[in-house]
Amino acid sequence: MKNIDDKLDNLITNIRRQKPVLHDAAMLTDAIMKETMNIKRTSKSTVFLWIRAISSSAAILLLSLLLFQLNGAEPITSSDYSRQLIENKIGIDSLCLQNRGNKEVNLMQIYLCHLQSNSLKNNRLKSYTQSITN
Amino acid sequence: MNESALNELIALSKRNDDKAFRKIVEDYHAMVYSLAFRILCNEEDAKDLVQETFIKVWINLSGYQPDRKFSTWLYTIATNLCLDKLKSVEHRFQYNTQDETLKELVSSDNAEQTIINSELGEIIYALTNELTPKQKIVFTLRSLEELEIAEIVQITGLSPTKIKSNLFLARQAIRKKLEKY
Repeated sequence: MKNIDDKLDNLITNIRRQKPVLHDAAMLTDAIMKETMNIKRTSKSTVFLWIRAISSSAAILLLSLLLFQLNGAEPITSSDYSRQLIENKIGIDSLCLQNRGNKEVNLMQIYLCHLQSNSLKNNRLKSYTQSITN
Repeated sequence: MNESALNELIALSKRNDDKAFRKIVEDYHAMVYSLAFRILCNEEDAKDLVQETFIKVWINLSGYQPDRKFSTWLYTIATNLCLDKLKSVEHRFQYNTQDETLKELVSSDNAEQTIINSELGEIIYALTNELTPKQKIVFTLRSLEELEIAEIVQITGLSPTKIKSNLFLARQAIRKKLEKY
């Protein structure tokens, strides 16, 4: 046991003393320098500066858009023609809108009417199926 | 090279001074080559690794913190590259180990005799080829490069306990091999 441990220590010491020799060191240095000179270093700080500038300008743009919408912008309304188009497209019961008596209809109101008419239709369907089953 | 001179060279290199960087390469390539050769056991692979290491150093020099020891930082880069090489499929080569050289080295008490690189590579390969990459790296850093455990912790990112257990297992495996000589 002790003999093998001694052998191991002896071997490690011998290997440690045998430094591998780098023969063509100058050539290797030249090759490294040639490679490194071809590499363009981009400093991290420059990249971060660019990212910071782009993200802050995007944030300012979004913020101003939001403020414009909240304060300055008119509510989105639809004209008669476009209202008809919307009604046709989403299948709103136009009576619902006429009952409200609005010439200029807010999009939110259109959506509410759409929901209401849908719920009415659902109820009708429900009662119809119930009457059939009974 | 003293610390202030080295820091001066690093500062100049950060400002793209190629002469300063050449001086760093000239002063440290032997250290990186020794580590790479002892881990990869092959001259060509070791040279490639030296080149890759210094290219990485050049690219990441702006991120180097002067409060950290430069050689430790260099060892970290080289060790990580060695680990990648050891894990890669291309590195799985075979040596026809000459038992005579190994026997001679085991029984020799004086290290006056110098052996050529290829023989040294064969011997280290014969001893360490069955170690896991981590064991090989820890064994090389501690037993052959004679680094302190604290420095190996910084280089490998392993805990002292893990380093010691890897070292123990590496020694056990090599010891087993030596039983036949």
